[in-house]
Amino acid sequence: MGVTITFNHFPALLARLEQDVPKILDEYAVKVREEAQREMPRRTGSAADGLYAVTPLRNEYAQAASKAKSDNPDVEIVPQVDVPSGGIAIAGAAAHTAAVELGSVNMAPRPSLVPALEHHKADILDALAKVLDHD
Amino acid sequence: MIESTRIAAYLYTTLANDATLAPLIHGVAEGVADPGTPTPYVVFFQQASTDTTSQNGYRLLTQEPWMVEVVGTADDFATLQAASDRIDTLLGLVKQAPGNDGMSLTLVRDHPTSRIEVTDGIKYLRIGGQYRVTIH
Repeated sequence: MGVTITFNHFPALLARLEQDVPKILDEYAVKVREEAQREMPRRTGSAADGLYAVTPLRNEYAQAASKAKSDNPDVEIVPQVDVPSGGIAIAGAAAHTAAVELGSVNMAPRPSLVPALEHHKADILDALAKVLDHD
Repeated sequence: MIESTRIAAYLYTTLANDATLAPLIHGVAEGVADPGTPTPYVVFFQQASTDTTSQNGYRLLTQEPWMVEVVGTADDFATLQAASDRIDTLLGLVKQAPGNDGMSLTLVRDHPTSRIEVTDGIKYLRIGGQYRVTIH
């Protein structure tokens, strides 16, 4: 004869994840976008001001595209990137954002997006881990 | 000691001196090829750098994602594919023992990359990968 006690914390854990993870990823998407904008080289500013974040809680594309066009009326604006439901993206509305970040046959790369993400990576993982540690 | 210079030297030496890769390309360059360099060629560049330090500030290791890609015109796909495959063989998983300067280096590919660039009316393909380098 014995006593069996069963705990099932998974429903509560899942509820915390569904509530907290989107907020954390949204917060850090904005931080990464802001840091990349500060670091990106500027002439007219259309590439930097054209950076936008798309998260389950926000979509900055329209505002960024408008700002980029305001900085440089001749800038080519590309469509918003496809983001899976619940996904996160940080991208550039200006067509030449890729050339600034990754270089071209005529221009050396001047990364700012990848350094911004790398700078925040440890903090993002810590914040997500704390969701699981919550009592 | 600046780790980035060691990584750049390793990448250049490895890519420029490979007997399989050399016949496929017209050179290796950091960042951007010299003006007038015919395609295809290989470029590599640092994307970021992060130090991991101990609590008393001692530098334990440095991690740096580097992009390595072969650049060529769209009509030269077969050569670009062969060159990028060879680059991945050379860099896909590297563990280098400490050299004369005491630094050891590992490379692992984070992800492959492939993009199209249209410049001056010419369509270029850039194929390669982002490689995470850990050096300590």
